[in-house]
Amino acid sequence: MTDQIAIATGAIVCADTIIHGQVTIGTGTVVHPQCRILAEKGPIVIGQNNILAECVTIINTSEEPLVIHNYNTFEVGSTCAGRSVGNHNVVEARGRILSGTVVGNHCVVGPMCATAENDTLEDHTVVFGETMNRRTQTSNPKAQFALYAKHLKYLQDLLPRYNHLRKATA
Amino acid sequence: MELPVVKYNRSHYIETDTGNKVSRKSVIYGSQNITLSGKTIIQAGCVIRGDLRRAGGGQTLVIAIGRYCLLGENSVIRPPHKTYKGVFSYYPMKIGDYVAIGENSIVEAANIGNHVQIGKNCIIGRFAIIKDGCRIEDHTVIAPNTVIPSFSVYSGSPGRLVGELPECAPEMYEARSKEFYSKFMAT
Repeated sequence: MTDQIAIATGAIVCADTIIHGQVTIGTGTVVHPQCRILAEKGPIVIGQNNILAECVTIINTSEEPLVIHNYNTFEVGSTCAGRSVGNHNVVEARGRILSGTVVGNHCVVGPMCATAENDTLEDHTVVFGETMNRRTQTSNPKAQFALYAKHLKYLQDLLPRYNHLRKATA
Repeated sequence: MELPVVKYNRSHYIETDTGNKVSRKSVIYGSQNITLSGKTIIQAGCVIRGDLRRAGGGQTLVIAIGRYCLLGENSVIRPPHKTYKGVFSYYPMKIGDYVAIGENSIVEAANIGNHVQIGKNCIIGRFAIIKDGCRIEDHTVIAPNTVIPSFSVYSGSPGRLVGELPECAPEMYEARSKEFYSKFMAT
């Protein structure tokens, strides 16, 4: 399968990444070095203003598209093989979204936690702890969002100074 | 327990004047902001983010690593971040002497003391402070902002205190770090 990589202007995608297949990356998204975005069969669509830290793997092995909406954070070493991810979600270090999973909005997958296969995470779900307990988040997302916006802005300024970037294609 | 001799291919590692051994397969960004004090081994696949530096000019040291440290394969060392007085910034990370970090561990600590052993597959959260002479067991998740007192053993997810180390632990870890370094030989 030939690579069709569309990177919007304003997206910061480091050159030191592995991107295969049909991948679309929206404006404002920051992809740290050492990320892997592998669209093996169906396409991967990444929306606007997401942060993908290093060693993140986004993989789509199904025919259907994998859609990641806006303002999501994927921390170091996390994996996403799900069907879709909503807005404002956080996948902590080495968290895993397994294949076929649909993630809502404002969810948190804790460090080393995983969802089940073909699972659905309702809005505001938190997956945490050794036994992957679940609860519903009650904290105010606005404060978190203010921090997120600053983090994104900082990375957009800083990463181009130290890393080579892939050129925007769309 | 005596450690085995580990042989490596000379062409796979770069050895510096101060005795640091850095794998050519490790990935180091912003190397001008990283200091290695000497005799530190950085193994293959290790990712060190020296590019995530503090906002504004001035002091640019991001990661300081002491002597006789070992950074295991595929470990990730990245500085912690937070907003302070409304300004977002990454903050420097300091790692002491005789610190061993196991394979596949992710470290975002603010400070790691001397004589610390971190196991495999650990996650050390943002701004964690690990004092001198501690052990973090394999597969432990240390929550952000945790302060780990000296001579403690932490395990689990989230990491909890599970035991204490004897007073001789620092000497033991120091001897072990030196032994590992001396037996890490080029062929």
